[in-house]
Amino acid sequence: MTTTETPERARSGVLRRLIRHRLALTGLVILVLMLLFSFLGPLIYGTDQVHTDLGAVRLPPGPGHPLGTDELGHDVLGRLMVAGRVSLIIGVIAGLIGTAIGAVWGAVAGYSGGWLDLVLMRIVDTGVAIPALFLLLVAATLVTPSVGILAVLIGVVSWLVPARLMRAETVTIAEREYIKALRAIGGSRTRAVFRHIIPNAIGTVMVNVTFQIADAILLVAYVSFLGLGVAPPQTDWGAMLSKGITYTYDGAWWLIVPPGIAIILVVAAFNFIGDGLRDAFEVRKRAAQ
Amino acid sequence: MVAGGSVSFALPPSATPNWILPIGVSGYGATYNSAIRNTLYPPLYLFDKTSNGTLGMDEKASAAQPPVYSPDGRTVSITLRNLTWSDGKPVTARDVEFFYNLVKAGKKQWSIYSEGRIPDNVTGFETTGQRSFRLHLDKKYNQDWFTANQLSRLIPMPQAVWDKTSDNGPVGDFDRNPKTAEKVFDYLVGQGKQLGKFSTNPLFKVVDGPFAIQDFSTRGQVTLRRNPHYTGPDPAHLDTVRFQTFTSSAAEYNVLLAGGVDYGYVPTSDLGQRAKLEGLGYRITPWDGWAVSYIPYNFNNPALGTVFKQRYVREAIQRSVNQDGIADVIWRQAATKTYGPVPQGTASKYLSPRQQRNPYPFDPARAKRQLAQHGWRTGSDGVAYCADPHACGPGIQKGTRLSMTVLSESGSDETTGMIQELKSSLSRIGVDLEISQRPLNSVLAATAQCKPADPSCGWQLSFFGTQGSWYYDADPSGERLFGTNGTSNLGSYSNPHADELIAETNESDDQFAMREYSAFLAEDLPVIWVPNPAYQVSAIDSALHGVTQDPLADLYPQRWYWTR
Repeated sequence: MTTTETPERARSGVLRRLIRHRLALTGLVILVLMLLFSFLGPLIYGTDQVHTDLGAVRLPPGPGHPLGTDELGHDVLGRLMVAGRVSLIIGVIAGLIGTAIGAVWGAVAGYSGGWLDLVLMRIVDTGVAIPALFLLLVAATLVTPSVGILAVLIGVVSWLVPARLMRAETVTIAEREYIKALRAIGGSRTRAVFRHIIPNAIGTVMVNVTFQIADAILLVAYVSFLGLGVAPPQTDWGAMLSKGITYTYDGAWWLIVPPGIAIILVVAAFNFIGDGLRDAFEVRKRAAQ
Repeated sequence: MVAGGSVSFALPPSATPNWILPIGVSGYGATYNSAIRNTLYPPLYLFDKTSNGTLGMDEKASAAQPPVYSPDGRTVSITLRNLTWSDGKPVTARDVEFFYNLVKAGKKQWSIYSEGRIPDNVTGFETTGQRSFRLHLDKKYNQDWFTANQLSRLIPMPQAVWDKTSDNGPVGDFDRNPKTAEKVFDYLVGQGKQLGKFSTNPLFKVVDGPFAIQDFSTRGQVTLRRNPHYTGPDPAHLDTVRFQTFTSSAAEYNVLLAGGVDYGYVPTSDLGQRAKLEGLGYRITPWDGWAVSYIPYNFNNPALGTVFKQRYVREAIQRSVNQDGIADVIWRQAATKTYGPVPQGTASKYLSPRQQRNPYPFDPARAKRQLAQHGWRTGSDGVAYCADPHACGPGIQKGTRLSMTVLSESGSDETTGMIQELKSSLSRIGVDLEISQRPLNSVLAATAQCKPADPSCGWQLSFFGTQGSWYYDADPSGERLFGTNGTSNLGSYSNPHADELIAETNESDDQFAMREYSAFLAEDLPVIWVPNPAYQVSAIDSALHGVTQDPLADLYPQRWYWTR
């Protein structure tokens, strides 16, 4: 028995199940709030994040500075907002780039099979063996990091795991009747990959995007922590955390706790959404079978 | 004072001592190498902070008595102190001649050789007695400079033991023939590279300094023991000194907190823990280097070279450097405000009152007025542009914007903070400063001398001074830094008057030549002067005394002693 579910109905079903998923809903709410905080917040709570104020460094939270000031006198609440923009933009772009490359790579490998599959997946295996952080640090020493460059760099080093997932998914899909039929009538490999395999693996891809974004936000935090993040006076949550830790023994907790919480919340939110999406797509698959 | 005992000293992060031969070769020039070597083989002259707090000759530590120059300045007579090699033979003029002959034969390999400098500027070595000799010079030099920056490079070596070309070969006068001298040079350098054998090699058992080698590991751990045969005026109080190496400053700091180091350092980022360290029995004290820090302008940059050549622009930029704020707040008082080419962390006769008083105090409002008076107007984006080319200066096109990029080394929160502070201050006068952070080696590679048409001439400003941009010899002359075509004149600064003053500091007898040079370069601003960070912030066991933190990074551990 098969269902006659249309793509539109399938999508609305996924969305409905996603919203019913409590953890995913929590993740969505957190994410929306953090997006509003980072992108609309500075319009409501305007602060000067370019000029330093050496007469007001490391002030504890209080009137005028709800989250205190940092080591150069910047308002920490305002800085948390502008840093959030950088972290989220890099995270989302890098997550999308990594997943896109990985999806195409894995689909081509899985659909082609034979020596091409072997070569493509051994390249992936080799890449996985090299820590992404190491590659990023090397790259960041060769080019001056900016938001765009960091997003691309992180994206380019994060496609390997999605490639493996997509290849496994493709091998399964490639055995289905409609793909066999396409082959029989001489359909091209490009058409098979881009019109049939990737759209049918969208569930896997979507789930992976959320995890990739979360990983990318953490990666940019690591890189910034090691001093190779975006150029000042721009900053991101990882860089804020890194500098804040310097002043741990001064008791300046307000330089550590806010960016730390922001990173945890956003990464957790994307993971919750990813979990929810996975469950939602699983339901659809079960229904389809 | 408690006689004897041992002290453990923390070397800089990742430092691995690997050279003790008095003749240095390229790649082995780290300051900790020379600091250790000087305890084994004292040079003719050593300079450090004297008892009155100024930089001067350390006569006790030097191997010779102060030099005497002839009235015409063309010869210098030197008498050695009563030192003895540890094999019992006296240190003689022949041992200095041996060194001189070897560096003459192998000067291309001698790491501190510079064309026209020693040994090129010595035309003859004349022995006048067992412990005295005379050097004939090619011309008259400034005596302060020659003693501090030339004679200080000469180090007696045990000719009676080292003048050979192989392990089992005979000892002779091979150094007196240039061809065989080269072979001796190569043999000794070869021995100098076998650091695993330093503690057992018979060559290095013969020393004339207050210490001898007890242990020298390839991993960087070095132990010196008191030389019982030392006959000079500066004997060691301690039995042993252990030099310890660490992979990072964090690793060193952890050992320091655990009490595993008697004389270590505190990473600047951990200065907030000063009270805790003092509670553990350490005294915390910055170690000022004989250095200056600065941001060179690239005067040949195609876009902004003509702008940088305008002194009023440099004055306006210098007036935007908040040295008080940077030194006190960002560096937490572990940096010295510096307004010119002479280091200001240690008092010296070289510092001019003009430099000391800061010719361009922090005053952004005045800086902005100064730019406005010269035809610069602030655009809608807050960046100044040249509205009146005649007033802006020759070569500056109408519409030229004061928008520039600084290459700055990454990895230091203090450096990042300082550059951000500079960006902030400059933005108030209409200068847009873009910050490009890179690792130190990358910044140094990009900051090269260049011609305007060179592809490598794109850099505009550069900072590489997290641990000081330039460490001087005892005499802070600036021929390499600010002389036209000087080898380290990265920004191609050129001013005929500065060249004249630099020549005076090297060659004239004028006692005040260095002060005039100091005053002129403090005013002419060949670079942006910024606070000079301390060489390190030391944590010293409060019972360890006799420590002089030498601005030239020498150690003098023979003077350390315990009081418990």
